Amino acid sequence: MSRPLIIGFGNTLRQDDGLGCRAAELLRADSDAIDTLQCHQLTPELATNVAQASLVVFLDAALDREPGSMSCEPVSEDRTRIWTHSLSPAQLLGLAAELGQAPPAFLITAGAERTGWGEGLAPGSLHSAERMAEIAKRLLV
Amino acid sequence: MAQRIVIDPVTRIEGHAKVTVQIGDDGQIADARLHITQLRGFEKFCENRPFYEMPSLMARICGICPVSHLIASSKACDAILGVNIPANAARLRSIMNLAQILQSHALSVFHLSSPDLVLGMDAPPEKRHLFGVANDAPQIARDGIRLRQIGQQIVELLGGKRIHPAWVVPGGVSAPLTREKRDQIQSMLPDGLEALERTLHRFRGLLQRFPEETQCFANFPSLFLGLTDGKGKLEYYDGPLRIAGADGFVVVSAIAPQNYHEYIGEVAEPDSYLKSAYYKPAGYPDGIYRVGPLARLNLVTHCGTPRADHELGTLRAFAGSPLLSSFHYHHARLIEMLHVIERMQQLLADPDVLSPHVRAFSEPNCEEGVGISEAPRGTLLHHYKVDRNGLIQWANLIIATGNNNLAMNRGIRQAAAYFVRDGKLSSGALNRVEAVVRAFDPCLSCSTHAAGQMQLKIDLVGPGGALLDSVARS
Repeated sequence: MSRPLIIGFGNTLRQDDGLGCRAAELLRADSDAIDTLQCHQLTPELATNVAQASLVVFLDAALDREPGSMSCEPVSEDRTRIWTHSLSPAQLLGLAAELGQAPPAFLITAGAERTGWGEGLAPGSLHSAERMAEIAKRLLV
Repeated sequence: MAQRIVIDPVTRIEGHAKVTVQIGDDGQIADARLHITQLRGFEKFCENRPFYEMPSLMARICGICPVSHLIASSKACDAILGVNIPANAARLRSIMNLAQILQSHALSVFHLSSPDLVLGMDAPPEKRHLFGVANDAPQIARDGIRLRQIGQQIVELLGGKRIHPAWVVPGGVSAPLTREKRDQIQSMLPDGLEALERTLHRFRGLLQRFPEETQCFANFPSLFLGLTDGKGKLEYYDGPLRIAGADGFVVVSAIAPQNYHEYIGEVAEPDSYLKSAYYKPAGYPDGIYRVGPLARLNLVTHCGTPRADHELGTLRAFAGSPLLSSFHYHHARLIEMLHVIERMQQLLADPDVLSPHVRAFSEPNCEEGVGISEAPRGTLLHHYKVDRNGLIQWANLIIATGNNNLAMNRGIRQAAAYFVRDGKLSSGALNRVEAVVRAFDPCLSCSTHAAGQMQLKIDLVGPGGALLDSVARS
């Protein structure tokens, strides 16, 4: 039976770029009924995981928005040309569709405060990660 | 009229490069060059770092083949320690190297080259990518993704991370393999063999549909270099270096790693950050040689596993031996994928694979160390010198792609001479010039740089240096 899939992605060595990974970590600790993945970037290998899921929630940091601002949007398939090292959520969904099926998907993003070298989130971004996890939980209900 | 064609950037390879094709007054190809346009500098900024940091530091050179650097670097550090690592440490390192070859070859064959092979060299560029393959041949796309997953998952199970695992260390590996993880790895491998058999069944026919490409994709006599087990069997982790000629005869049967500099030289060209390696006794540039899957299969009598040996026999029966056309790199890669899965099965079946003795400890005993292993793309060499405190004073890396640089350049020239007509590059010709480079599966991240997307540009240049035509792809 297919289960919801949470994919948090970003570079955890660039501070708040790891927001999505932190939110996925919180969700993993909170529920056994979902599958969670944390990764540096979205690669084609994830398409088979996506194609087998009942619902996919992507979690990512937004570098071009105000720190702390949140967004949750549905993701539509994009089947245009791809670069094989790094896909967008829409491209990953498109590849999953080519290989089987594309489940409903959402992208939750939060504005990053700082993205310099180093591990760990800014204090405000820790709160953002918690809010991202809360929004994801509502989608899973 | 003389012209220059520029392809900038080259697409679907690992890193950033451009190609320049020079056409003479007679309308014939005068020269063609592959330029690697970014510099990294790992050999310099590691100076004065403690030697034991080198494996983790050097692994950051590349996100595709970090395990190769981990292994070559750790072997160089083993030599600085002056230790023989435990047999099971070598076995476990070898399994990780095999897993990495599997995932990297899957990337090359399926993600980067299958659009050319499945959809055709002349397919519209907007369709010639992984989505196009998934649409046209979904099973091939699925199998490619699955094979890469298997390789990555094995690396993760062994090292804790898919990319940049820190498990391979000077003296061995940092932790033994548990029974549970061994069973998990073993359970994945039959699935991989099944996917490969399906792929080979499809590709045997596909690859025969490219007679022109087979004829002119870097198809010339050259030397071949790589590790063997010392007796003519395929080996990726350890063993002496062997050099064979285009006639199949062994030129040098066993070079000890520390003596590599007697046989291999490097030259820096003014138009590229990628150095060219050459066989010293033949001089530069006559000492051209090739490394990687094609070279490895040309150097050995057999692979040493039943399915891979059967497939190698089939390829040799069809294409001869040694294989001189670099178009056969694709088929060689598939045979190696078969071999690495079978080899992992053999190694994991040994009960000693669970032995807890996986690391030798020592203070540095030597001021110099050389480590050589076979990376997916070919022979990789790390050479370090340290001071009395174990701080790196000097480092030299000879990367697979540098070993192939002379051959890639000559291959581009050969393909350009064949496909560039009347000083113009059609889309299909542009793709074929790129595809020659792709056949070698160069990793420019390893040799120089690794930021962003690989792109391609071809310049058409006249004898006076005037740029007459340029085709760029973003």
